[in-house]
Amino acid sequence: MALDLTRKQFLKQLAGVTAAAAALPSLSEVFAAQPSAPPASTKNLKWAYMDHWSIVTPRGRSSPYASMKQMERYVRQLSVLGFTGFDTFNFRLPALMGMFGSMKGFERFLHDHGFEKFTGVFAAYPDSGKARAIHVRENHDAIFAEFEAAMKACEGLAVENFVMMPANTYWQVEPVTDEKIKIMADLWNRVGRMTKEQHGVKLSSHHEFWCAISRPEEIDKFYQWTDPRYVYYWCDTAQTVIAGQDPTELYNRYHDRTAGFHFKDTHNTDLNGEYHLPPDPELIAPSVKRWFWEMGTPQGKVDFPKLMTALKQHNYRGWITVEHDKVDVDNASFAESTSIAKWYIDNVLSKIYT
Amino acid sequence: MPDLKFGYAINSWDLVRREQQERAFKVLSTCGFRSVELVQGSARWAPLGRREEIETNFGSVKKFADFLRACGIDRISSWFYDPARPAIEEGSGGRSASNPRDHQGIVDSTRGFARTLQELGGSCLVVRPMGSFWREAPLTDDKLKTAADCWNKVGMMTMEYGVQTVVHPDFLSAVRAAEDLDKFLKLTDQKLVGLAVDTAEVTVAGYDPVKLYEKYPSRVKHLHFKDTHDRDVLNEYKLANAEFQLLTSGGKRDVSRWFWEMGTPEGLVDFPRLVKSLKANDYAGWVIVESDQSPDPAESALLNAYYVRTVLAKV
Repeated sequence: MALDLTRKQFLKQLAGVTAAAAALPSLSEVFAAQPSAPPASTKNLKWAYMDHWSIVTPRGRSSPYASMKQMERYVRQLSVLGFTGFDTFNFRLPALMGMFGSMKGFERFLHDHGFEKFTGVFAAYPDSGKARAIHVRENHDAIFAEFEAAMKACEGLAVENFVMMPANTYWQVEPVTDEKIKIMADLWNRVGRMTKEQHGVKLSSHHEFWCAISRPEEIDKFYQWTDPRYVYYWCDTAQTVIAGQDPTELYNRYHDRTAGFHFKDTHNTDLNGEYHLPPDPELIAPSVKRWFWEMGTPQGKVDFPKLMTALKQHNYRGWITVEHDKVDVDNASFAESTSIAKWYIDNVLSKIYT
Repeated sequence: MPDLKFGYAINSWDLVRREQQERAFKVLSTCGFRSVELVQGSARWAPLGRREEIETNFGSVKKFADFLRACGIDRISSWFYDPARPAIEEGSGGRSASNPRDHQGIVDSTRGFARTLQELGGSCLVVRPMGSFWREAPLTDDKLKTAADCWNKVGMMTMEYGVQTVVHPDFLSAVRAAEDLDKFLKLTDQKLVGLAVDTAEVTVAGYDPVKLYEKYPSRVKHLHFKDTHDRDVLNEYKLANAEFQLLTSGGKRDVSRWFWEMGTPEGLVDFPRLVKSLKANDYAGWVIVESDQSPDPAESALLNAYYVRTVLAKV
């Protein structure tokens, strides 16, 4: 059931919300005693990491991008966990080019640490601002130009995916009409054709639970009105579950145009229709402080074994990207969360499909 | 991992809640560290600190072993024990090996650790040989002899359980100077008491851990691998309350962190040289990696694992 709050009502409600204490996980049932499997085979699946990391330092939380020393510490940790692909945001590219001279230089750095490649770029326009409303045709040239610039920055690399959020936040687009979905589809067909034909990169659509193409009927229409040659499906497991949908069902429906996955978990579904509340349901939803968790927590709602079984049935081959944004909401450790996720991959998921 | 036996000391994690324990063990398992060194503790803040706490928290040592295996940990390799720490379960506010009246209490206390180690697949009891220098000074030959006698008795007892007792001098310990350590080792029975070399502690104290190992290759039965960026050049180990003034708060130079992961550019310990020497001497004991004073123990474990795999495995 949706909460039909006005912006004013929402802000009033938000002001009264005290930060909920982080729910302490209950004692989990440990897995039956069994020897751990070796790291996941690279036969069919390869594991990439989506970059949200921050580091605890004596000066507080800091970014790997703050210094070469911190970047080195960051990449070593991903490497020892067995990640061989690296995904990041488009807004990180200038910093990487500054640190390494070029994206090619950054990829050499990754190679030196055991990575296979720089695998993907992510871009989104949560806020429409004055000129980034995706459902307004007049903004398309500017958005197209930004995607083109990101692709040029990555020229010479074997980047595989450009992942995007197909719409702005729900509340900035409402009502989400067919007309608006068609306009957005037109943009992404144009961008996807450019990334595919000029750079060999798949443009994939990643449906945040709070973006304006997130309800089942919106998603179906979007894929109906986009060209399967140019616009692919990207399955974010947690976002999908929060939106009240089953990622395995969506994958089964769009498996022939699925370019990749963000494997992350959630402890909550959006029961109150908070997806359309301003200003940002992912960061300051009234009822949930932290939406995203690493795989392997007892309260996790994503059925990863079911999804892995589907991957096996469809003979999926390629990258799976592990992601845990919002670890820092609880001031927790990215190193620990990522290790727990990798433990789950090695000891649970790899027994289903590798 | 190279053919040395690597484990990890879990002394820097907060382990009060079961899920914290589970996450810490899974992190270490994922890093490839499947053997763990516990640290002695007492009462409700230390559910893994001693046998009684394990039994209270898990029901039995066997159930704790099952829990470890479910997390991907094969064994508890070793246990760190400092007689000066209070033990509520024993009604003890702390004991000293240099006090002969405490010897029987120390032997009785360590028996529980040795027995539990045996049941968990472990083989080494790592003990602090004497209290801190500022408490023990002046360090006399009599005190050294008394402390050595204590650990001989403990070493004899732990042998009943197939557990080797090793003394672990740290940079605050009364037994830290080369000549004192030499005397101390001569006063202990080499069949009963081994030496643990902690690379960072030895370096902070102003010594070279490789030279120390090579001086006593047959006595060294246990190793702690961690790095440091600083030495105690002002000899602040002599200060009263050095545990706080120097170790915790950094002393007059305000050293932010005494102990670091292996592989930092400023690291003073030459680990490849040490590993080369260990292999040349067919070292058969545990190499326990530590991350004391880390603001993020999981990060340190990952960085240490990276160093072991990319550097030490190639030595």
